[in-house]
Amino acid sequence: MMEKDFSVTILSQDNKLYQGRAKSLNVPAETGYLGVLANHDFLISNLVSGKITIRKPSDELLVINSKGKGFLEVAKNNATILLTSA
Amino acid sequence: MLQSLKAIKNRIRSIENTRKVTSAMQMISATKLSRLDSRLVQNRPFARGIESILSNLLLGRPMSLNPFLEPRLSGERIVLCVITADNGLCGVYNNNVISQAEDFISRRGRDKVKLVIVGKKGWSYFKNYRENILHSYLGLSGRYSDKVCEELLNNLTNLFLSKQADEIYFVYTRFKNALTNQVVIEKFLNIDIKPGESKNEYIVEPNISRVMEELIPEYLAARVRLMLLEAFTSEHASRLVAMRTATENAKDLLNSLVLLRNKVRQASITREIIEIVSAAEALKG
Repeated sequence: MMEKDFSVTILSQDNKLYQGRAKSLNVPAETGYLGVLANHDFLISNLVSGKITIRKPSDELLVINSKGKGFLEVAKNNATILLTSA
Repeated sequence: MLQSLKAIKNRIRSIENTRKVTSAMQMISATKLSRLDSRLVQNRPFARGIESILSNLLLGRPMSLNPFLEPRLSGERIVLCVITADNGLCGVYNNNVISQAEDFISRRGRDKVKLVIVGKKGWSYFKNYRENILHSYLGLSGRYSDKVCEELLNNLTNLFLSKQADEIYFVYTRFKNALTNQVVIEKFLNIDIKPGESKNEYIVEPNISRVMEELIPEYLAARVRLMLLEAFTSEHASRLVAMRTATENAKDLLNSLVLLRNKVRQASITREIIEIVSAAEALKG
């Protein structure tokens, strides 16, 4: 069966860092790395500095280094990440 | 012709100089505008995103979670932050902001409202109430800097937390496009935000108070940043429009003066020829 994907938007204050679909998302939450797949439950979390990894539908990996704080919201197969400095 | 050729030439020269100045200012504003405009456009989705996370987070939770959220019942001490420009020559930009601020002050009572001023124009307008000005930021000239933004944010949050202010409002100009912008008054503190409409309960990691602790300062910072950017972008847009109009007026004036100068010159040439011809006729006798 095809793996489902969901949409991901990553914004910093002055930039749009990524907007597109992803099969999975891995983010640095305060208590450790957090994985998000499609159909994830509603979630809000704050993020710490670390590596944000996006697995695109083509299975290509995109890694974004986040140096500051951030926030993640997942709702209805939409993940939004806001980074205060990137 | 009553006006002498020399006087007209002088006027042409001085208008020419004015036109050069206004068109230079127009170009400066245009570059500043385009730089700030792109920054503003990128900042808006971030500010909106952080606001939507906060409103979803507040869904069904008490306001007593964070001191910034709690409404103060007395509402006696109000702080109004007025964002104006440092310089004039930008049409009605400053006047609009100041008249809205005056309106707000008279509505709430002059003795209750204290001021925080950004921009020399606002400062010089309100200098008669200097004892009511708590902080002022002058000489920014429409240049946005993170440092000023941070300072303003710190001062405002301190005023609120130390209970010198029960409510904080901003009056500033929101940028729509190069020709239209709109003066708005917005409540800044306490945070007055509608809880989200989603019916689903969010999982919050690691826990609500920790996320709130992190999110609220960022939310406030994003708002101050956005409001300053909106105001400065509007300032440059207003100046651009004002200077473009001035340059065009100068051009029209120059055209009509050049026409007048040519007529006067031609008239004096004609007169001289008539004098010579009539003298020659007289000599022929």
